[in-house]
Amino acid sequence: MLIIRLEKHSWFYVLLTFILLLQGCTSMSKETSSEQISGIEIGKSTKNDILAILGLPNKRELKSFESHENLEYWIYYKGRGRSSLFIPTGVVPAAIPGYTAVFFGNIPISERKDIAAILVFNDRGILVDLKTGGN
Amino acid sequence: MKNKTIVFFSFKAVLIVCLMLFSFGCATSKAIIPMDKAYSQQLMQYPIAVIVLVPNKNLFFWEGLYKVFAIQTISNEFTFEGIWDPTPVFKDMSIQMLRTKFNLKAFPLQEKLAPDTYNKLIADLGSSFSEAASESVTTTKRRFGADPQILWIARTGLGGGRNGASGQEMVEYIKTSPLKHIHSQKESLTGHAVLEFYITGIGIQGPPYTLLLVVYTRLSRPTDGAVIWANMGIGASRLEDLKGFPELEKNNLALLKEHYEKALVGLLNPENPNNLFKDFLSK
Repeated sequence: MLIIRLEKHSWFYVLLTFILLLQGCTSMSKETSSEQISGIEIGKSTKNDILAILGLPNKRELKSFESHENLEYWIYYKGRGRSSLFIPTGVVPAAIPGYTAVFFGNIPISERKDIAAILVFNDRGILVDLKTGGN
Repeated sequence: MKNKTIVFFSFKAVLIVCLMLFSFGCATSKAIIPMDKAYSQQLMQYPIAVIVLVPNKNLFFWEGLYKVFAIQTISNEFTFEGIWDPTPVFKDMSIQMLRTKFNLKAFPLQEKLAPDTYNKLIADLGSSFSEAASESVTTTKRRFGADPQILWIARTGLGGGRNGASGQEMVEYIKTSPLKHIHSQKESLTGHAVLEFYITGIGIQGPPYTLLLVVYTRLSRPTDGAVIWANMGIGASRLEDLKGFPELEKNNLALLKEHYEKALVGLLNPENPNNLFKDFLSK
């Protein structure tokens, strides 16, 4: 644990700093939408087409089959990934008389692991199958 | 008595905030293994075989958003395996820098070995490095939990072993002789030096959005496996006015590649204060 001692009322300044840092930030993470997926054509779309539509996959796997066919799987997850909140979690009297303790913690608020889409490519880089989340 | 406030942060939270607030583009003061002065004179005569490896082919994306009384962090990982190969640009640029800035006889190791032998060497060195990275992740998980940001720092060795929290395993790896891997090529590499570069991480963090490139490197002598010089470095390129992650992926990852190259130039150019070639040649 790292302990920072602050002067009287300084917790107020800590909070004020957070408020001042509110610059209307919005997330720029990418999401995989069903509209994007609808623009994909099995048997026609290539890896480059998919890259242009969906961007980089979250995961890639290669599988070889007895028929000597090699398939490449691109896996996309739903949502924006893992999200956490770094927040003040408590204000209590400290063990040291005259001190107040403020606890900050990292609270996970969501972790996306649901699959949005699995795209399967053949050796020539052509899309041969597409499965969307829940299928 | 005055009422005072004590603020408690968990060490994990401090690491996360540090990752968010600073771009880690700071220079390391000394190389992991500085080059011996006597050897730096000899090196001018040695042809240097360059090899570039990417043990971790994931792109890590991390953003910290200021909210009322809190900071929200969002992390995501994407793979570029089989989609983009960052090694050719690295190889060309590093060879060019070694030739023009250090006046060394550098060439790609690939030219010296048969394709099968070269591919096997790439696989062996890559898996050895990955073992070190995986050890680092296990240690970090045990100490700090499984936060993606922390695990990324662990896997890439971003801390370079200096913050006590991550990177020791990679530092140990890079300090160790690669003889067991290159021993079989001893004959074809006699009279040469081998310079390995490991791209251990490419990540985007912000705001302000910055591309980070983490690289470990080792120069060794194939005849006895002695590590002559080793270092790690972090290249950075600021992504001004980035509107969104998809912008990086447009036109076959054009913007991502552009900023990767910018970070690379900064890292490999010995005239840059944050360059990778610290204590490389004594002039």
